[in-house]
Amino acid sequence: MESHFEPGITQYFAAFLVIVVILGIVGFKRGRGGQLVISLTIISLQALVRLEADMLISFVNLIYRSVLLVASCGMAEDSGPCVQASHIMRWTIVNPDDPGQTRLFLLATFMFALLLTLLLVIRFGKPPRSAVHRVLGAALGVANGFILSYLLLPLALQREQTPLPVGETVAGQAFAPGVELGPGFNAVFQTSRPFILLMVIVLFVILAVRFVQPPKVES
Amino acid sequence: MGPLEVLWVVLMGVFAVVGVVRGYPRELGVTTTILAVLLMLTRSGEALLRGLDGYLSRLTQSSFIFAGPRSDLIQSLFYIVAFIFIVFISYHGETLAFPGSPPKGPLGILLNLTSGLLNGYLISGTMWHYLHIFNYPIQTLGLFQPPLTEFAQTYLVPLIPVPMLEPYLIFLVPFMIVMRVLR
Repeated sequence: MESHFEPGITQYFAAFLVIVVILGIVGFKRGRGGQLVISLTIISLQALVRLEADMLISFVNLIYRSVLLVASCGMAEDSGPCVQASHIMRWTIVNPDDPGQTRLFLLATFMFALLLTLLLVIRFGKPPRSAVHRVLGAALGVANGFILSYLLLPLALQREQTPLPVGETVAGQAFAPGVELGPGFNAVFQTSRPFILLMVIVLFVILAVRFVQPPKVES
Repeated sequence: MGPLEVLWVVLMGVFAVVGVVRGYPRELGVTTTILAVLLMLTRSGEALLRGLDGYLSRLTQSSFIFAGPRSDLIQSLFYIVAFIFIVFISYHGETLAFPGSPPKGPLGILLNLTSGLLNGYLISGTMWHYLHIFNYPIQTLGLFQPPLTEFAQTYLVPLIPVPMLEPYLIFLVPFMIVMRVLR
Protein backbone atom coordinates (compact mmCIF):
# COMPACT_ATOMS: atom_id res chain seq x y z
CA MET A 1 0.00 0.00 0.00
CA GLU A 2 1.43 3.35 -0.97
CA SER A 3 0.90 6.44 1.12
CA HIS A 4 0.83 9.88 -0.40
CA PHE A 5 1.71 11.43 2.94
CA GLU A 6 4.87 11.15 4.95
CA PRO A 7 4.29 8.82 7.93
CA GLY A 8 4.55 11.57 10.56
CA ILE A 9 1.77 13.59 8.98
CA THR A 10 -0.49 10.54 8.80
CA GLN A 11 -0.04 10.10 12.53
CA TYR A 12 -0.95 13.74 13.08
CA PHE A 13 -4.06 13.40 10.95
CA ALA A 14 -5.20 10.27 12.79
CA ALA A 15 -4.66 11.74 16.24
CA PHE A 16 -6.10 15.12 15.28
CA LEU A 17 -9.22 13.52 13.80
CA VAL A 18 -9.79 11.34 16.85
CA ILE A 19 -9.45 14.26 19.28
CA VAL A 20 -11.74 16.57 17.30
CA VAL A 21 -14.40 13.88 16.74
CA ILE A 22 -14.48 12.79 20.38
CA LEU A 23 -14.78 16.32 21.74
CA GLY A 24 -17.35 17.22 19.07
CA ILE A 25 -19.50 14.23 20.07
CA VAL A 26 -19.16 15.04 23.78
CA GLY A 27 -20.15 18.63 23.01
CA PHE A 28 -23.18 17.46 21.05
CA LYS A 29 -24.27 15.14 23.85
CA ARG A 30 -23.58 17.38 26.84
CA GLY A 31 -23.99 20.87 25.37
CA ARG A 32 -21.95 24.02 25.73
CA GLY A 33 -21.69 23.92 29.53
CA GLY A 34 -19.52 20.82 29.57
CA GLN A 35 -17.35 22.18 26.78
CA LEU A 36 -16.82 25.44 28.67
CA VAL A 37 -15.58 23.38 31.61
CA ILE A 38 -13.21 21.55 29.27
CA SER A 39 -12.02 24.86 27.76
CA LEU A 40 -11.30 26.19 31.22
CA THR A 41 -9.43 23.00 32.09
CA ILE A 42 -7.30 23.21 28.94
CA ILE A 43 -6.39 26.85 29.63
CA SER A 44 -5.60 26.17 33.30
CA LEU A 45 -3.51 23.10 32.53
CA GLN A 46 -1.62 24.90 29.80
CA ALA A 47 -0.88 27.79 32.16
CA LEU A 48 0.22 25.37 34.88
CA VAL A 49 2.46 23.40 32.56
CA ARG A 50 4.03 26.47 30.97
CA LEU A 51 4.49 28.69 33.99
CA GLU A 52 4.91 26.26 36.86
CA ALA A 53 6.51 23.22 35.24
CA ASP A 54 9.53 23.38 37.56
CA MET A 55 7.33 23.65 40.63
CA LEU A 56 5.24 20.69 39.47
CA ILE A 57 8.29 18.51 38.83
CA SER A 58 9.84 19.49 42.19
CA PHE A 59 6.57 18.67 43.92
CA VAL A 60 6.33 15.22 42.32
CA ASN A 61 9.96 14.45 43.14
CA LEU A 62 9.35 15.59 46.73
CA ILE A 63 6.37 13.25 47.06
CA TYR A 64 8.46 10.42 45.60
CA ARG A 65 11.33 11.03 48.02
CA SER A 66 8.90 11.25 50.94
CA VAL A 67 7.41 7.88 50.08
CA LEU A 68 10.88 6.37 49.72
CA LEU A 69 11.95 7.95 53.00
CA VAL A 70 9.08 6.47 54.93
CA ALA A 71 9.43 3.09 53.23
CA SER A 72 13.20 2.89 53.75
CA CYS A 73 13.76 4.58 57.05
CA GLY A 74 10.39 4.62 58.77
CA MET A 75 9.00 7.52 60.77
CA ALA A 76 11.50 7.35 63.60
CA GLU A 77 12.97 10.60 64.90
CA ASP A 78 16.53 9.34 64.46
CA SER A 79 16.19 8.46 60.77
CA GLY A 80 18.80 11.07 59.78
CA PRO A 81 21.71 8.59 59.47
CA CYS A 82 19.44 6.26 57.46
CA VAL A 83 18.54 9.07 55.08
CA GLN A 84 22.17 10.05 54.59
CA ALA A 85 23.29 6.47 54.02
CA SER A 86 20.62 5.73 51.40
CA HIS A 87 21.16 9.02 49.47
CA ILE A 88 17.39 9.33 49.10
CA MET A 89 17.67 13.07 48.57
CA ARG A 90 19.36 12.46 45.22
CA TRP A 91 16.59 10.26 43.86
CA THR A 92 14.09 11.66 41.41
CA ILE A 93 11.22 10.17 39.48
CA VAL A 94 11.41 12.93 36.86
CA ASN A 95 14.88 14.25 36.04
CA PRO A 96 14.50 18.02 35.62
CA ASP A 97 17.67 18.14 33.50
CA ASP A 98 16.34 15.64 30.97
CA PRO A 99 14.10 17.43 28.43
CA GLY A 100 12.62 14.11 27.27
CA GLN A 101 11.53 13.06 30.74
CA THR A 102 10.12 16.46 31.66
CA ARG A 103 8.18 16.64 28.41
CA LEU A 104 6.74 13.15 28.94
CA PHE A 105 5.77 13.94 32.55
CA LEU A 106 4.08 17.24 31.63
CA LEU A 107 2.28 15.58 28.74
CA ALA A 108 1.10 12.71 30.96
CA THR A 109 -0.12 15.15 33.64
CA PHE A 110 -1.94 17.23 31.06
CA MET A 111 -3.63 14.23 29.45
CA PHE A 112 -4.57 12.56 32.72
CA ALA A 113 -6.16 15.71 34.13
CA LEU A 114 -7.97 16.38 30.88
CA LEU A 115 -9.22 12.79 30.63
CA LEU A 116 -10.56 13.01 34.18
CA THR A 117 -12.39 16.24 33.33
CA LEU A 118 -13.81 14.68 30.18
CA LEU A 119 -15.08 11.64 32.09
CA LEU A 120 -16.68 13.85 34.76
CA VAL A 121 -18.38 15.95 32.08
CA ILE A 122 -19.69 12.79 30.39
CA ARG A 123 -20.87 11.31 33.67
CA PHE A 124 -22.32 14.34 35.44
CA GLY A 125 -23.04 16.76 32.59
CA LYS A 126 -26.66 17.55 31.87
CA PRO A 127 -28.12 16.92 28.41
CA PRO A 128 -28.65 20.15 26.45
CA ARG A 129 -32.14 21.63 26.48
CA SER A 130 -32.45 22.31 22.76
CA ALA A 131 -30.98 21.51 19.39
CA VAL A 132 -29.29 24.93 19.32
CA HIS A 133 -27.44 24.12 22.54
CA ARG A 134 -26.39 20.79 21.06
CA VAL A 135 -24.99 22.46 17.97
CA LEU A 136 -23.21 25.09 20.09
CA GLY A 137 -21.78 22.32 22.22
CA ALA A 138 -20.57 20.42 19.16
CA ALA A 139 -18.98 23.57 17.70
CA LEU A 140 -17.26 24.36 20.98
CA GLY A 141 -16.15 20.72 21.21
CA VAL A 142 -14.57 20.90 17.75
CA ALA A 143 -12.86 24.17 18.73
CA ASN A 144 -11.54 22.53 21.90
CA GLY A 145 -10.31 19.66 19.77
CA PHE A 146 -8.38 22.05 17.52
CA ILE A 147 -6.79 23.83 20.49
CA LEU A 148 -5.90 20.57 22.20
CA SER A 149 -4.37 19.14 19.02
CA TYR A 150 -2.37 22.34 18.53
CA LEU A 151 -1.01 22.17 22.09
CA LEU A 152 -0.44 18.44 22.53
CA LEU A 153 0.33 16.81 19.20
CA PRO A 154 3.73 18.47 18.70
CA LEU A 155 4.71 17.09 22.11
CA ALA A 156 3.18 13.64 21.72
CA LEU A 157 4.21 12.59 18.23
CA GLN A 158 7.94 12.84 17.68
CA ARG A 159 9.31 13.16 14.16
CA GLU A 160 12.41 11.17 15.11
CA GLN A 161 10.26 8.04 15.32
CA THR A 162 9.91 8.11 11.55
CA PRO A 163 13.24 9.17 10.08
CA LEU A 164 12.89 10.48 6.57
CA PRO A 165 15.64 10.98 3.99
CA VAL A 166 16.89 14.57 4.12
CA GLY A 167 15.66 16.68 1.20
CA GLU A 168 13.57 13.93 -0.33
CA THR A 169 10.20 15.21 -1.48
CA VAL A 170 7.44 12.74 -0.98
CA ALA A 171 5.07 14.72 -3.17
CA GLY A 172 7.47 14.50 -6.05
CA GLN A 173 7.48 10.75 -5.88
CA ALA A 174 3.77 10.40 -5.23
CA PHE A 175 2.82 10.63 -8.88
CA ALA A 176 5.64 8.59 -10.37
CA PRO A 177 4.12 5.28 -11.47
CA GLY A 178 5.59 2.14 -9.95
CA VAL A 179 7.70 4.02 -7.42
CA GLU A 180 7.55 2.74 -3.88
CA LEU A 181 7.40 5.70 -1.55
CA GLY A 182 10.25 5.68 1.01
CA PRO A 183 9.08 4.04 4.20
CA GLY A 184 5.47 4.14 3.00
CA PHE A 185 2.83 1.94 4.61
CA ASN A 186 5.24 -0.20 6.59
CA ALA A 187 6.70 2.80 8.44
CA VAL A 188 3.23 4.20 9.09
CA PHE A 189 2.12 0.81 10.37
CA GLN A 190 5.23 0.48 12.52
CA THR A 191 4.96 3.82 14.24
CA SER A 192 1.17 4.03 14.45
CA ARG A 193 0.48 0.45 15.57
CA PRO A 194 0.66 1.08 19.34
CA PHE A 195 -1.36 4.28 19.05
CA ILE A 196 -4.03 2.58 16.93
CA LEU A 197 -4.29 -0.34 19.36
CA LEU A 198 -4.53 2.04 22.32
CA MET A 199 -7.26 4.09 20.65
CA VAL A 200 -9.17 0.94 19.64
CA ILE A 201 -9.21 -0.30 23.24
CA VAL A 202 -10.06 3.11 24.76
CA LEU A 203 -12.81 3.91 22.25
CA PHE A 204 -14.31 0.43 22.52
CA VAL A 205 -14.47 0.63 26.32
CA ILE A 206 -16.05 4.11 26.21
CA LEU A 207 -18.60 2.93 23.65
CA ALA A 208 -19.33 -0.29 25.52
CA VAL A 209 -19.86 1.51 28.82
CA ARG A 210 -22.07 4.06 27.09
CA PHE A 211 -24.45 1.37 25.82
CA VAL A 212 -24.59 -0.88 28.86
CA GLN A 213 -28.04 -1.28 30.37
CA PRO A 214 -28.14 -0.37 34.07
CA PRO A 215 -28.83 -3.24 36.47
CA LYS A 216 -32.50 -3.65 37.31
CA VAL A 217 -33.43 -2.54 40.82
CA GLU A 218 -35.53 -5.11 42.64
CA SER A 219 -38.61 -3.52 44.15
CA MET B 1 -0.55 -21.99 8.28
CA GLY B 2 1.86 -23.05 11.00
CA PRO B 3 0.68 -24.37 14.36
CA LEU B 4 1.15 -21.13 16.32
CA GLU B 5 -1.04 -19.14 13.93
CA VAL B 6 -3.71 -21.83 14.12
CA LEU B 7 -3.54 -21.76 17.91
CA TRP B 8 -3.81 -17.94 17.86
CA VAL B 9 -6.92 -18.03 15.65
CA VAL B 10 -8.53 -20.90 17.58
CA LEU B 11 -7.98 -19.16 20.93
CA MET B 12 -9.41 -15.90 19.65
CA GLY B 13 -12.42 -17.76 18.30
CA VAL B 14 -12.97 -19.57 21.59
CA PHE B 15 -12.80 -16.37 23.58
CA ALA B 16 -15.11 -14.64 21.11
CA VAL B 17 -17.73 -17.33 21.78
CA VAL B 18 -17.11 -16.99 25.53
CA GLY B 19 -17.65 -13.25 25.19
CA VAL B 20 -20.97 -13.72 23.38
CA VAL B 21 -22.18 -16.11 26.08
CA ARG B 22 -20.98 -14.17 29.16
CA GLY B 23 -21.73 -10.65 27.93
CA TYR B 24 -19.35 -7.77 27.57
CA PRO B 25 -19.84 -6.14 31.02
CA ARG B 26 -18.27 -9.24 32.57
CA GLU B 27 -15.67 -9.46 29.80
CA LEU B 28 -14.57 -5.89 30.50
CA GLY B 29 -13.81 -7.00 34.04
CA VAL B 30 -11.52 -9.67 32.60
CA THR B 31 -9.92 -7.08 30.31
CA THR B 32 -9.15 -4.94 33.36
CA THR B 33 -7.55 -7.93 35.07
CA ILE B 34 -5.51 -8.81 31.99
CA LEU B 35 -4.14 -5.28 31.70
CA ALA B 36 -3.34 -5.18 35.42
CA VAL B 37 -1.51 -8.51 35.22
CA LEU B 38 0.44 -7.29 32.20
CA LEU B 39 1.42 -4.19 34.13
CA MET B 40 2.60 -6.32 37.03
CA LEU B 41 4.52 -8.79 34.86
CA THR B 42 6.21 -6.16 32.71
CA ARG B 43 7.22 -4.00 35.69
CA SER B 44 7.91 -6.57 38.38
CA GLY B 45 8.11 -9.95 36.66
CA GLU B 46 11.88 -10.05 36.52
CA ALA B 47 12.19 -8.89 40.13
CA LEU B 48 9.84 -11.67 41.21
CA LEU B 49 11.87 -14.22 39.29
CA ARG B 50 15.11 -12.97 40.83
CA GLY B 51 13.59 -13.20 44.29
CA LEU B 52 12.42 -16.73 43.63
CA ASP B 53 15.80 -17.66 42.15
CA GLY B 54 17.57 -16.24 45.20
CA TYR B 55 15.43 -18.38 47.48
CA LEU B 56 15.87 -21.55 45.40
CA SER B 57 19.61 -21.05 44.95
CA ARG B 58 20.01 -21.36 48.73
CA LEU B 59 18.64 -24.89 48.39
CA THR B 60 20.39 -25.90 45.17
CA GLN B 61 23.65 -23.95 45.68
CA SER B 62 23.37 -22.49 42.17
CA SER B 63 21.08 -20.28 40.14
CA PHE B 64 18.12 -22.46 39.25
CA ILE B 65 16.17 -20.07 37.04
CA PHE B 66 18.71 -17.88 35.25
CA ALA B 67 21.42 -20.45 34.62
CA GLY B 68 21.31 -23.90 33.12
CA PRO B 69 20.01 -25.44 29.90
CA ARG B 70 16.33 -25.00 30.85
CA SER B 71 16.63 -21.34 31.87
CA ASP B 72 14.58 -19.93 28.98
CA LEU B 73 11.91 -22.60 29.35
CA ILE B 74 11.52 -21.98 33.10
CA GLN B 75 11.30 -18.21 32.71
CA SER B 76 8.84 -18.47 29.84
CA LEU B 77 6.65 -20.93 31.72
CA PHE B 78 6.73 -18.76 34.83
CA TYR B 79 5.26 -15.77 32.98
CA ILE B 80 2.75 -17.83 31.01
CA VAL B 81 1.53 -19.90 33.96
CA ALA B 82 1.28 -16.84 36.24
CA PHE B 83 -0.66 -14.97 33.58
CA ILE B 84 -3.03 -17.86 32.80
CA PHE B 85 -3.62 -18.56 36.49
CA ILE B 86 -4.71 -14.99 37.25
CA VAL B 87 -6.83 -14.73 34.11
CA PHE B 88 -8.47 -18.07 34.98
CA ILE B 89 -9.39 -16.73 38.42
CA SER B 90 -10.78 -13.54 36.90
CA TYR B 91 -13.11 -15.57 34.68
CA HIS B 92 -14.59 -17.13 37.80
CA GLY B 93 -14.97 -13.90 39.76
CA GLU B 94 -17.34 -10.94 39.62
CA THR B 95 -15.39 -8.27 41.49
CA LEU B 96 -14.21 -6.30 38.50
CA ALA B 97 -17.17 -7.05 36.24
CA PHE B 98 -18.85 -3.88 35.03
CA PRO B 99 -22.38 -3.55 36.42
CA GLY B 100 -25.29 -3.85 34.04
CA SER B 101 -26.20 -5.95 31.03
CA PRO B 102 -25.62 -5.69 27.29
CA PRO B 103 -28.23 -3.97 25.13
CA LYS B 104 -30.67 -6.18 23.28
CA GLY B 105 -30.32 -6.93 19.62
CA PRO B 106 -27.42 -6.93 17.14
CA LEU B 107 -25.54 -4.14 18.91
CA GLY B 108 -25.31 -6.19 22.09
CA ILE B 109 -24.13 -9.25 20.18
CA LEU B 110 -21.54 -7.19 18.31
CA LEU B 111 -20.22 -5.66 21.52
CA ASN B 112 -20.10 -9.07 23.21
CA LEU B 113 -18.22 -10.55 20.25
CA THR B 114 -15.76 -7.65 20.13
CA SER B 115 -15.01 -7.83 23.84
CA GLY B 116 -14.45 -11.60 23.54
CA LEU B 117 -12.14 -11.08 20.56
CA LEU B 118 -10.24 -8.37 22.42
CA ASN B 119 -9.69 -10.63 25.42
CA GLY B 120 -8.73 -13.51 23.14
CA TYR B 121 -6.23 -11.28 21.35
CA LEU B 122 -4.71 -10.09 24.63
CA ILE B 123 -4.52 -13.59 26.13
CA SER B 124 -3.14 -15.42 23.10
CA GLY B 125 -0.89 -12.47 22.21
CA THR B 126 0.59 -12.38 25.72
CA MET B 127 1.34 -16.10 25.67
CA TRP B 128 2.95 -15.71 22.25
CA HIS B 129 5.01 -12.78 23.54
CA TYR B 130 6.49 -14.79 26.41
CA LEU B 131 7.36 -17.58 24.01
CA HIS B 132 8.81 -15.15 21.46
CA ILE B 133 11.14 -13.22 23.78
CA PHE B 134 12.61 -16.47 25.09
CA ASN B 135 13.07 -17.83 21.58
CA TYR B 136 10.30 -20.43 21.72
CA PRO B 137 11.75 -22.72 24.42
CA ILE B 138 8.85 -25.16 23.93
CA GLN B 139 10.82 -26.49 20.97
CA THR B 140 12.94 -28.39 23.50
CA LEU B 141 9.76 -30.22 24.48
CA GLY B 142 9.05 -31.04 20.86
CA LEU B 143 5.98 -28.77 20.79
CA PHE B 144 7.24 -26.37 18.12
CA GLN B 145 9.58 -26.57 15.15
CA PRO B 146 11.22 -23.30 14.06
CA PRO B 147 11.21 -21.17 12.01
CA LEU B 148 7.95 -19.26 12.07
CA THR B 149 6.10 -19.05 8.80
CA GLU B 150 6.54 -15.92 6.70
CA PHE B 151 2.92 -14.98 7.40
CA ALA B 152 3.52 -15.14 11.17
CA GLN B 153 6.76 -13.18 10.98
CA THR B 154 5.36 -10.45 8.77
CA TYR B 155 1.83 -9.98 10.05
CA LEU B 156 1.37 -11.63 13.46
CA VAL B 157 4.59 -11.02 15.39
CA PRO B 158 4.29 -7.22 14.86
CA LEU B 159 0.77 -7.44 16.30
CA ILE B 160 1.82 -9.02 19.60
CA PRO B 161 0.13 -6.70 22.10
CA VAL B 162 2.57 -6.63 25.02
CA PRO B 163 5.37 -4.48 23.54
CA MET B 164 2.79 -2.15 21.98
CA LEU B 165 0.76 -1.64 25.14
CA GLU B 166 3.58 -1.66 27.67
CA PRO B 167 4.21 2.13 27.75
CA TYR B 168 0.48 2.81 28.10
CA LEU B 169 -0.44 0.22 30.75
CA ILE B 170 0.19 2.70 33.56
CA PHE B 171 -2.65 4.80 32.10
CA LEU B 172 -4.85 1.98 30.78
CA VAL B 173 -5.29 0.20 34.10
CA PRO B 174 -6.51 3.31 35.98
CA PHE B 175 -8.63 4.21 32.97
CA MET B 176 -10.43 0.84 33.12
CA ILE B 177 -10.98 1.18 36.86
CA VAL B 178 -12.29 4.73 36.45
CA MET B 179 -14.67 3.58 33.71
CA ARG B 180 -15.97 0.82 35.96
CA VAL B 181 -16.46 3.15 38.90
CA LEU B 182 -18.00 5.99 36.92
CA ARG B 183 -20.50 3.67 35.26
